[in-house]
Amino acid sequence: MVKSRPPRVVLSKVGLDGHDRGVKIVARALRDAGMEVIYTGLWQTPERVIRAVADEDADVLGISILSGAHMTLVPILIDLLRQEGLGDVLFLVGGIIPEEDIPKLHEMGVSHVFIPGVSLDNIVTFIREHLPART
Amino acid sequence: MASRTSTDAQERFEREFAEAPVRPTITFDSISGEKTKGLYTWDDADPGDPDEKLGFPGQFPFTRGVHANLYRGKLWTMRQFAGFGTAEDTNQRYQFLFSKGQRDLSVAFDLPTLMGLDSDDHRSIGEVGRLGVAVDTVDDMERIFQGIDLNQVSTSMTINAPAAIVLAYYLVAAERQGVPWKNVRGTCQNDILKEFHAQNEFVFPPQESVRLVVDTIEFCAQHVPKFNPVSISGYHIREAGASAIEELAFTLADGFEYVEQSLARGLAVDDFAPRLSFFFIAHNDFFEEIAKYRAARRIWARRLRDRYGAKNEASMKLRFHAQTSGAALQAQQPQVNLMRVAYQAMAAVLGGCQSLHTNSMDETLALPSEHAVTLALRTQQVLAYETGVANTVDPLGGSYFIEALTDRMEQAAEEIFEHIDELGGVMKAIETGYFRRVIADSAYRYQREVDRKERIIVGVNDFVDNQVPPVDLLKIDIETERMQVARLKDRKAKRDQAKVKECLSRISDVAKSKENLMPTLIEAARAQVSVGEVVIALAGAFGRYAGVPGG
Amino acid sequence: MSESASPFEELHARIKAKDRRALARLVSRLENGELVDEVRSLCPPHDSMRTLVVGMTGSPGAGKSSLTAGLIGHLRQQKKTVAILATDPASPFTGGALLGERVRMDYDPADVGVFMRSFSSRGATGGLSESTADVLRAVEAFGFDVVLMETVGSGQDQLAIRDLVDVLVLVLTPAGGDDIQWEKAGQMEAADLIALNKADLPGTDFAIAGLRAIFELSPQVAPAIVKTIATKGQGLAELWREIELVGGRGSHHPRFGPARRLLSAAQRELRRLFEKEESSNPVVADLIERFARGSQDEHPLARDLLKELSRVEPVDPSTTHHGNG
Repeated sequence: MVKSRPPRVVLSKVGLDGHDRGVKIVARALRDAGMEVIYTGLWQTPERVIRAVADEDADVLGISILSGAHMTLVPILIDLLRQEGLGDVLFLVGGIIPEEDIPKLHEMGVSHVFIPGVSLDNIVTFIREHLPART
Repeated sequence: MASRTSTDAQERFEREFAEAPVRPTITFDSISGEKTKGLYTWDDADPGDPDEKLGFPGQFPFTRGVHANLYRGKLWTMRQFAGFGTAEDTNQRYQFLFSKGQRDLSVAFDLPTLMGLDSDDHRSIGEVGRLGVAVDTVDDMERIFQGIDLNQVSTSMTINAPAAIVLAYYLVAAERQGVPWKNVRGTCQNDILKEFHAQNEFVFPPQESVRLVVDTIEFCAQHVPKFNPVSISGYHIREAGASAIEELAFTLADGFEYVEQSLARGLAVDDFAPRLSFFFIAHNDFFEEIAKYRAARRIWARRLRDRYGAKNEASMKLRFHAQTSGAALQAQQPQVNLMRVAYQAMAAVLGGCQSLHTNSMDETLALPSEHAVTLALRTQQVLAYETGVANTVDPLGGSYFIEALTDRMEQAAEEIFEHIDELGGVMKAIETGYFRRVIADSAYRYQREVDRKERIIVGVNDFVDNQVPPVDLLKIDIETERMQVARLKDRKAKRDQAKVKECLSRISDVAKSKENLMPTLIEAARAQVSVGEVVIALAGAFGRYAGVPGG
Repeated sequence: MSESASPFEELHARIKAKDRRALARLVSRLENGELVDEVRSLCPPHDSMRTLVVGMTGSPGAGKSSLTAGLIGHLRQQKKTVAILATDPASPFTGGALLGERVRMDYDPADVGVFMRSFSSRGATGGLSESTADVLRAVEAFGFDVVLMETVGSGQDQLAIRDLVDVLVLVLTPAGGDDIQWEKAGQMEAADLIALNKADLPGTDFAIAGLRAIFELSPQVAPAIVKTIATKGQGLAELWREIELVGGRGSHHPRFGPARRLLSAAQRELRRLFEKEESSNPVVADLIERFARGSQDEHPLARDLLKELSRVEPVDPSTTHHGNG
């Protein structure tokens, strides 16, 4: 019998900043929306994040950056995702991202950028509507 | 006690109160989720024994303040936290703040320094000098204070896991200026316990981390008597999502833990407790914050006298720094943050803070620009000189609401202390993830309320305005990182390598013993050993801590 | 890959070729209840494999994740490949789960000798997910030397994991009276080994004496107690030595031996059959309805259900030959 699969989401903090209030709130909201959230914790290198996405067979990757290092870290993550054949993973970025950087991040391949003030329901809805189809 | 309210008037009030229309969907609970009543009367504010509960300012239990004349004698210290880029950039910002009337310093370090990494570590990429100043060796510390007389200023340093190392650098920088340690004034945050609860800038396991803190407490008590070795911090606990009561209780519980571990070291309580200082947030909920500060003073005084046997009143006085809430700042309509900060700052002053940092309006977007920093400082100056709030000590004392709220805070905190005791104490509670779980629960509750619009955040979930003039932001030069790395490599190449090696092996030996590490760390500072090198040596002896559960 | 290959054959071939992405996908599909028969028939059963399966349980905060992380490092130094399967409970209300075991697993992401996967119990009783046994088979087929299975052990969880592992390690600490809780729960005796973690805390020797006293009163062979300090990597080598000793001679608990394992497998088979027939088989539907009406005792109905299920899918003698190849 085939059961419906809860979406699997890897949530991660890359870089050195330890502010995890936001990512933990999102983790709980996604759990309460019926998703399986794999939280990798702080100080992740891009390589570790991608490893988690691959081994956990995640549908979604969400990273949180509040230190301002997003323009350095996101391109590395995108390259690694593609190298690993994980280009179809829904890639979300959350945190303090200046307005001018958002289009640049989209261009690199980020599916969506969530900035402070976004409602949790918006994040849940976005994920549900954009989940990659998997076989 | 007999009610002083006449029954007729009270009944009429209660009827009218119950019948009056109420704004729908909005919660009247405090920002921490505490129930509040529409009116407080004499019945709510049981004064008990006024001597035991309130006393006079400057007298036990210090509910009304730690000094008799508080701000009439000396205004609170307006201390703006600053630091970015290289030591020279930061030095320049300090000179700027001095020119605007600030008198004391507060150093922000960059993330690699906070995490005990050198600028040339691969994990530091993109972070060097970004959120604070990069300090790799004692030379950087010396340059930060170029032209600033360390006899004259008091310096606050926001650093935790590597605090003992950075304190050693500061003492050597003072030494190089010819300033004797007995004159060195300032504060090191050095509160590792809250890192495990909330801020996550820990490196070593909890017990070893606290040992380092006790080493600094002991060393300062003996050699740097005007320096506060620890600033026991609720700020980050609150920023991570805790309620005001949780901030209060967890911070004081941490304070008790430092006291108990220092006593276990064999120190006498009155030799070190006067130099323990505190750091609380100033958040949006005005009265709740004021009650929090008052309750904190009362709880601390009672515990120090009654449980730890303090005899010196200075040991019982809870002195605190306050900072307005960073999480309460909004990226939408950033100028509105000016008003938030002003109200928060007023709560801190009405609550009797000893020093205050007011956030800049643009801090959710970037490090503060000079313009924004000036406005933040001006906010404090207006408060101090124009509003009259500094004229009278504890002006809200005796308010039915404030006294009831202070009692409520104290009682709730005592319940949390009991619970922590049941869990086996602070150290055990850390390892079971208790603190983190509670904080994450509160953060989630609050966010849900905002999402449901039970709480209105101006410009975020109501009164949204898309036509907002942009604010100018400070940009960090990407050259900073390259320069700092080059400078560190040069420094590492030109040291007495044999001496460095000797220092590192000595650090490792002392770390494994019960001896105080500070003298060895100071020796290493003099020998130009870097923060990252010392941390690696310490981690070899202590182990590293990967994280605690309870996310 | 030929056009005619079934999805499973394709995945199986990739798994044999040690394609980690294929393993990750297969695990997901097993979790979704897909490809179960294929895995049971094509991947060899545990007893024919050389993989050592180790269970790690203990109270939250005892340090089992740190110990597991420490063992990964120790095993990799010995060039043993290792898979970590960590299960956290799902929310009973939403079915969602917060899986946080990766937080403490610090291994080189470029090291292909390590595979870590987080599981939600997805509402199954026993703390492990229903698909765990099948996932374990697929992971073993991939060829890992060691599988470390981690669950928060309490109540029934302990027994569920007991049926799947060669060696069960219970992680305790000197502080906090963990041992008493475990003893009360009657779980202590299920352990093959006790890791007394945080053995630098005061009270360590006292705790060991207490544990020995508990086992003196018990009719079974006392498990070895190994002192560890996970945060400093101390005691890992000794712990692993003891694990291998138990793994080599077999668990000393007969009630957790082959008979028990077979029963456990039979229960899984039964559940699979039941789920297959539940909505389509009129006899099964009738039994459920009669039970729902409450007019009949449940046990005769259950026996009828067993009869019906074994009638629709008679045991195929050929399946017993699979997997030995």
